[in-house]
This record gives sequence, C-alpha cells and structure tokens, in this order.
Amino acid sequence: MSTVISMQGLSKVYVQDVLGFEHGRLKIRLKNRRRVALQNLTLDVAKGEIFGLLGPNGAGKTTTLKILMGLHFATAGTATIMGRPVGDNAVKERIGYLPENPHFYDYLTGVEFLTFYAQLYGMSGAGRKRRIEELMSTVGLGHALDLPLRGYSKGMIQRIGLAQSLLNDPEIVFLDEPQSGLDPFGRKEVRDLILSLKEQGKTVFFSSHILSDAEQICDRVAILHKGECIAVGPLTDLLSAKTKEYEVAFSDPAEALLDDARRRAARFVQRKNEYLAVFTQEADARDILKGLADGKGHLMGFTPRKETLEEYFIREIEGKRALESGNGRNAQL
Amino acid sequence: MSSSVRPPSFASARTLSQLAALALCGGAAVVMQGDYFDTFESRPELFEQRLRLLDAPVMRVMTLGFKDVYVDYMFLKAIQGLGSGWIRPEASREGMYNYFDKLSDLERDFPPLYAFGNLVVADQGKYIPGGQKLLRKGVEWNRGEWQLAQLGIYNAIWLANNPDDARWFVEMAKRMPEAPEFVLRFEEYIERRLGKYDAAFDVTVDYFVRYSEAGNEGERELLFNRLNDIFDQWNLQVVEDAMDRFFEEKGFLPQNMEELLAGDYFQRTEVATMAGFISAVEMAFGRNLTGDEAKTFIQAQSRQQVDGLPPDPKGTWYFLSSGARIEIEAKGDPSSLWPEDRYAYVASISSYREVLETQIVSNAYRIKNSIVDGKVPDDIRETYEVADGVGGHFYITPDGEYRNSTLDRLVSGGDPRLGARGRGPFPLPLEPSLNDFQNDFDWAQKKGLIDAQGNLAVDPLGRPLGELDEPAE
Amino acid sequence: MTKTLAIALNTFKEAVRNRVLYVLLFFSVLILFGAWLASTLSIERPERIVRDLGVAAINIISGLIAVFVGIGLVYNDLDKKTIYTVVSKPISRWQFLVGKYIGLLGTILVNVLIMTWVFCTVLHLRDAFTDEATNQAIYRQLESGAYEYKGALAHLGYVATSIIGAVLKGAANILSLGFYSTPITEGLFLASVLTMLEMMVIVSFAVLFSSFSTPTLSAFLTAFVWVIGKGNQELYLLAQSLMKKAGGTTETMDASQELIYHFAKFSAHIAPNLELFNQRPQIADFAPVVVSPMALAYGIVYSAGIIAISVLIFERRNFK
Repeated sequence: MSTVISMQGLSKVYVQDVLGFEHGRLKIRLKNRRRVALQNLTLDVAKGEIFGLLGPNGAGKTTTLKILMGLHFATAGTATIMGRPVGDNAVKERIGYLPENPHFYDYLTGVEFLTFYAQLYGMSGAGRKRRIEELMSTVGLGHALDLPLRGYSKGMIQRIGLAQSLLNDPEIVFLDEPQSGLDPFGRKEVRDLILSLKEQGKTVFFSSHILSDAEQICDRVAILHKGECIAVGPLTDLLSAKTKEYEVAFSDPAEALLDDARRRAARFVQRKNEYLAVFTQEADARDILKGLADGKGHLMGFTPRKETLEEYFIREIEGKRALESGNGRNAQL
Repeated sequence: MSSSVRPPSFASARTLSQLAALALCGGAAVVMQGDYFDTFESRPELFEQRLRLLDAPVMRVMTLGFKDVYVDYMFLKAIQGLGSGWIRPEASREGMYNYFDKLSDLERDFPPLYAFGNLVVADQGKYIPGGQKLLRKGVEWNRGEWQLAQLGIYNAIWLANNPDDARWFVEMAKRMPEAPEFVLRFEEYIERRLGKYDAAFDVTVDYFVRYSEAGNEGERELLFNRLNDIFDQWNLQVVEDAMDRFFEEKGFLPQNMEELLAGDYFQRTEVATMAGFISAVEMAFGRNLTGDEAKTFIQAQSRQQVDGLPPDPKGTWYFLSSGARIEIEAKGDPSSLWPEDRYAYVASISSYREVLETQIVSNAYRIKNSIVDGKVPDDIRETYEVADGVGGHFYITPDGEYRNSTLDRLVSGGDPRLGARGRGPFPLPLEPSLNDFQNDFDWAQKKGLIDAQGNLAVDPLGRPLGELDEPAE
Repeated sequence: MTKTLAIALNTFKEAVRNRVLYVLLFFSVLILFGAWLASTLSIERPERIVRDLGVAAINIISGLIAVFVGIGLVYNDLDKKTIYTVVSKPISRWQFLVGKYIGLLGTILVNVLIMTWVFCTVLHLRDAFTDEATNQAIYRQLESGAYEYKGALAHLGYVATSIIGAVLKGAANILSLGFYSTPITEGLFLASVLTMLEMMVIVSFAVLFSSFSTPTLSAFLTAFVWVIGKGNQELYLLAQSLMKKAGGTTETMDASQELIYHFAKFSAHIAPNLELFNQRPQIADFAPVVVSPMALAYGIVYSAGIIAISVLIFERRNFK
C-alpha cells in the first residue's frame, strides 16, 4: 500500500500578541501568549483507507486538517500529500475538503454555489452542469437546487458541503467532523457515503470526537489528545485487544442461576425482577447464557461491550499522567 | 389598578406629568429659539461671525479635496444669506470683502465670486476699494474673463473716479483674446475723460484706419463723430487753459471771448484739427499708405500749432455764453464749482446754431398753422417770441415765418461783429452782446428782460434775478 | 485567470446583494437631483454648480461604497470561514485576493456608470425644463394647433417625452463611452474614468486593510487614507508655507506647527496623491477633461503596489 498522506513531526504553536499595561500606565508592549495546538505529529495514511483522526475537542484535529489544507502554517515539521507539499495547487486539484461546521456564501443558490466552486476547479460547460446535478441528488438535495443557501437547514448545509468536497471527484477526501450536528439518519447517510467513497478506491481522512462514528468504518485511527498523538492503529487493535465486557440482561431467573450470576459478575444490577450482569470473562457469560437457554430465565439482551473511546481516553490519559510523573508505562502501541 | 399586561393609560398622573414636562421644555426651547431669531437682526456680531473664514491654505486642507464644492456651497450661502444681509446698513463691507477674498483664495477659477463679491462689497459706494480689489484679483486669475475687466473699468470710472484703476483694467482686457472691441475702446474714453485728448486722438485714429481698411463704413462713421467730440473737447481744453491763466491773473473769470483774446492768455499749443485730419487722410490715401504707416502719418499730419483760439471742428468758433455764465455765477462763488461746471459757458457757435435751428424747426409748423386771416395771434407771439441764450431773440415775421436774430446774423455772415478780427485762425469778437445790436436791445427792454442801462433783469430762463438768491427748496 | 474572474464574479454578486450598496445608490440619486435644485439657487453659472456637485457626489458615493463594501471584503470570508473551502480549492491566495479586488472594482464601476447615467439624465432634464425650452415646445404645439383643446395634456406629453428622452440620452452618453455627448454632458464619462482610477487606489487599500484587520478598523483606516490622499497635496503646500514662514527651519516652529509639518512631509511621500485624479475644475468650466498617461500610470502602479503588499501579508497568514 502506498502512502498518500505523510506528516513528519508536525507542530503548531499559536502565539497571540496581547497589548499589555505596565504599572497602570499605558505602555504598549506585546506579550506573547503561547498555546501548543499540535506537537510532533507523525502519521502516514495509505491509499484507499478510511483514516479517522479521533480525540476530544481541542485535541488538535482541526489544526491538523487546516495544516494539510494549507489554511494554517505549521510551526515545525513537514507534510506531504501524494508526495507533494501541502498547499500545492496540483495537490488541491485532487483532494476534497469539508470543514467543521461549514459556512458558505449564503446569498448564492445551491447551484450557483456549486457552479462557483466548480469554476475554481476549472470545470466548465455541460460536464460541470451534469456533475453538479448528479452530486446534488447524491447528497439528497435534488429538491433545493435553486434555493438560496440562507434558506438551508444545518443538515442541508452539511450535505452541500459534502457535495462541494466531491466536485472534482477527488482521490483523497478530508472531512472535519462530517457527522456533527446531524440527526441519526444523517449520520448513517454520511457513514454510507464514506463507505461508498472507499469502494470507489478513494482515501478518506476524517476527524471526529465521537467514537461510534468512527469505529464502524475506520480502517485505522489516530488518537489525539492536547496536540499529541497518543495512539495510531486499527481501531480493533486499539480497543478490542483491551478488556471486554459482556453484558447480560435477563428476568425471572432460577434461584441457582441468579446466585451463580451474582457470584461471577463484575457488576450486578437488580431492578424489580430484572437483572443486569456484567462479566469480564467470556466463559462466565457463556455459562449464564447457556443456563438461560435451558429455560432458567428469560434472556432480555446480550451485549459484548468493547471499550469506549472515552474510557480509552481516560485510561490512556491516566497512563500518560503516570508516565509524566515518572512511573507510568509507554502508551504508544 | 391597571393590569400590567396593558400599556399605561394616558390618563394616569405619571403620563400627564411627563407630557407636562415635555410641553414645558419644548415650549421653552421654541421661545428661546424664537427670541434668537427675533433679535438676530439687531445683533450684528452674529452676522459678522458668519463671514469669518479660515485662511485659504488651511481651508484647502480641511475641505479634503472638495474645495470647489465647498466654495459652491459658500457661494450659494452667500447669495441667500448676504443677499438679504447686504441691504442692512450696519453690515460691515470689510467683513464681506474678507469673505469673498478668502473664498476666492480657495477657488480662484470661479468668476462669479469676484463679480458677485464686487456687487455685495462695493454696492452703493460702500467699500469701493474692496470691490475693486476683488475684481483685480478676478482679472488676474481669470485671464479670459473680460466681463470682470469691463466691470472693473466701469466701476473705476463711474463709481471710484479712478482713471489709473480703469487704465489697469483696460490693459488687462487688451491681453484677453476674447475681449470685445467696445471694452478695449474704453481706453480712448478714459483718456478723453481725463483730458488726454492727444492720446484719445491717437487711439481713435488707430481704429479709424483699421475699420477703414476693413471697409466697415458704420464703425467709420461712428469714429468720425467721435473725432468731432475729441477735437471739440480738445479745443475747449485750450480755451479753458487760457481761462485758468486769466483767472489767476485777474481773480475773476472773463465775461466774453474778447477779454480773453485781449491779453496773452492763449499760448502756442499743438492740437489736431478736423481740417488737418481730413487733409492728412487724403494725403495718406494719395500715398497709398496702409496699416501702421497710415496711422502714424495721419496722427502726425493732423496736428498743427495754434497760437490763439483753435477752430471748432465744424468750422465755426468758440464764444463765452453770457446766459450760461450768468446762471453759473448765480450759483455763488465760481471757484467753488466743479471744474467742468466753471467752464460750462464756453460754447461753440456751431453747437448754438444747432440748438437754435432745432428750436425753429420744431416750432415753425405750429406757428404757421396758428395764423388766422393772415395774422399771428398775440398769445402765439407771447409764447414763441422769446430771447435765445446768446443775446438774440426769436421773432415771427408778418407772414408767419419763425426766425432768430442771432441766426440771421450767423447765416448772413456779414455782420462785422461776428467777422474776423484778432488772433487765431478765427480771430473774431466772439460774444455778441445785447448792447451790440440795437434791435435786440430794444426788444429785450420792451420785454422787460433788461433795464434802461442794459443790465439783465432776468436770467436766461426768464426768472427775475433776485429770486435766485433765495434758497432752493 | 478564469479562476480569479470566478472569485471576482462572486464578489460582485456578494456586493450586489448587500443592502448598504442600495442605500448609497439611493442617496446618490437624491444628491444628484439635489445638485439640480442647488444650481437653481445660484445667480450665476448654475451649470458650474450642478456639474461640480454632481461629479463630487459621484466621487464621494463611490468612495463610500469602496470603504463600506470593501472593508467586509476579505474579513467576511475569514469570519464566516467561507474562505476555508475556497482556498482549499486549486487556486492561489493571490488569485483569491486579486479576484476580490477586481470584483469590488467591478461593483464600483457598475455603480459609477449608473450614477453617471443618472447624472446625465438629470442634466438632460435640466436642459429640457428650462423656461425657454418649455415655452418653445408649447409654442410649437400651439402652431400645430395641438395645444388648443388639450393644452394641459400636451404639456404633460412634453414632460413625459422629455423625461424619456433624458433617460435615453443619458444612457447613450454612457453606452457610447462618452463618444456621443451633448455639450451639457461633455467630459462626464472621462470624469467617471478618473473616479475609477481613484477607486482603484482606494479599493486596493480596502483590500490591504481588510486582509489583516477588523471591518471597523479597516473602514477607519481606508477612510483615513482616502482623506489624507485627497488633502495630501494641499497639506504639503501648507507645510511648505509654514516652513517659509518659519524661515526655513523647524526650530522656530511651535509644537503643533512642527507636528503638521512632519506629518505633511511624511504623508506626502507615503499616501496616494488623489488630487491627480481630480479634474472637477475643468469639468465645471466645460474645459476638456484629460486622463493623463501620468494619472493612468500612477493609479495602476500604486494600486498594484498596494495589492502586492496585501498579497505578501495574506500569503503568510493563518486563517482563524
């Protein structure tokens, strides 16, 4: 697999100049307020994969994407896309980008807007018109072609944003929080779209702070926290290798089964005659399920629970803190 | 109790007191403003304040490149504001001069500023120097604006009586390609008015030659008439110079031309004469002279040395009109009179002849129509048989012809009293007096115009002489 | 180039859909008719007053459009983050900035032409409604007998045809690029060309300030440059006269004079000399208006320089 996005030691420090007062007298002096947004990020993304950049808000995901898009300049490090430096027009020809919470020229209609952007790609003629109509129906906006963007709902803006990022049939699509602000159906549609992009052989690089968005589709993820990359790898490697839990919900159990479950469960919750047992060992869960299958109660639900991103964060960050205090372990996998 | 979801009622004490306070403050403001405007007229300082402007360089910066628009605005404001304000007698013309001066500093190429400024500042002779200064500035900055120069000339001559000023404007007008001839010919007028007939003659000859060559008969005719005026006034000046010398020596003005000719009062002077001019033109024509050559030739050849009384351009001679003299003397001390009034009784026979002939022509038909049965009615005789201004009288012959005794003598030309004697080209005893002609003397005595000794009893207008001493109303 | 023009076209659309533009246009129409009104107050040369005020109004309103529409130019894109998706397309930042510049300049051009058209119409109307012209028209109708029974109607007809004629003649003045011009509209097209040259410079400053500061600040700065540029030449002359008065040395000046002197000297060298584009005196006097090669070159070179500085800044900045 060839590498299409490569970042080497990317760092970004925001320096804010602030006017200061000194001893109550107005003495203009610039104070530098430094904030590290990204620290020494090294990542490679292979062609055709769906890569998720995960992390809580303020972790540096958007900064990374802006640097890749040439909107920000990195303080240190290098980044290339398809072997060329970022910001190169030849690169921009072959990529698509959807920013977080995008805003567009709201005085334009949907078609005017996409036409304008298509012109920036140098597209023209009937091909342009056909491509725009095709994309509008792909993202489900076939009914809103001549509606000004100011009349679009948030979901519609997100869809037309996706449409503009796909105008040039890009090889790599960068999506910054593509599912934020969408309802569950919208999320599913975006997910399906990303998967279809992968089917077309495109590379998708997206960021999210919601694990469930990522875990079903990502081939690989990187996890950022306070500007630092704390883990890179397939999500299954990162999470499923860790402790799993098996959650069994049942009702009207036989006395023996109830005792057995209560004894073997890591956590046990009772609500009237409904019970929820969480096991850490697969064998325990299997035994209880077997018992339930033998008619010793009604099975209400069974969920093998992987570790959540939030839990992962908590664990990793605590590990990092421990590392910082000198007796932790290496969080890097 | 009003419900809180409804707006407060207008009838509530709170609203009423608010309205009352509003009415009070508003009313007071209206009254104060009204007072301001009512007393505006009587507070010149407020009016003056509006005239004060910053210096032009500062204004130019302050108007941010829109100085022309600012000047337009201030000009319009001046028309509206000063138009009513300049009628105010107490308004300061110096302030208005400064106003227009500074505005014109700011925008030099706006001629109405100077013209209108002059109108406002110099109006009714209030501040003529200021008005003229504005015009001078306007002429200096707007080289093509001959109207400004014309206005300047006009004001300098008739308002300011300042020939130097007028001459300056003429000089400027000469440099303006679009200035029409009549503006340039003011030069001649100024010289003539100043008594510089010499210069006036030269200028007129210049135009005369030019128009003649251009074949402009109408203009040539006009210029010929103007030459008559120039010669006439030039000659009068020679007479007046002699009269000045007479007055210096004797302390009183001469009673008649003989007195003036008797002494050594006329000096040898060079004047241009009509006869000289005509022969010079003919000579120039004969020699095929053109342009400047013709001009200088005519100018030189027209002049001749005159020892005594110069000739009237129409071929007659000058005399002192006793009637006019008496009228002038009756006004009081002649030396207190304006120079032009002092010598107003120097007249030429030709001019008198014109007057007499006009009177005869205008009355002759009426008298002829009044004859009944071959007899002129007495009241017609009473009306028309009157004295003329030169000692003769009008009379009606038995067959109804209207005549004048002076004109009779002039026409016959044989009267020795009007014949050639003494010095000068027309050395004549010039003023016929009543004593000289018995029939005039008798006639005047019969009419009660003179007493037995021949002294005048009435002035030439028929008013008894004593009455003139009484103050006029 | 087509990409830059696409940006320009979009900027034009943005400006055209801006309400401020219409407010300013409305005021310009008011002022242009007001110039006619003001000219009737004059006792002499009303043509000067109407031409002077009209051309100045067009100049001022274009300047206000440059300032108030120009300031939001780049800032709005940054503020609303619309620039993210534009700059990530295959265009360079300078293309974006130049496109914005051309777009706003185009907006102002259209507005200047509209205002000049309105102004030409005002002048034609003014010409048609002089007492003399009206009376002649009525006499003509009297002669043809049309005025006898329906006099009022005929007069109304004259008014209506005059208005339509004025509008059409005004349009012809503009569309013929000034080659068709009646004596009363002589030089007005060239005046708008000069106004556009001035706007080239002002808009370049609007782009410059807008590319790194907030709308309020850049409105202030742009207006400041405009004001200084207009008064620049006079300020310099004032400084020179101060110097002459002080005897050729700053030592004898008081503090305020010295401040004015140094400020004037400084601004004269830095600020644009917009007086070069001012030919209102010639227009007011019906003298031939000349777009000198010097003014043309100055406008192009100066604005190109300012745009170059803007690009230098813009290419180095992070988008918030």
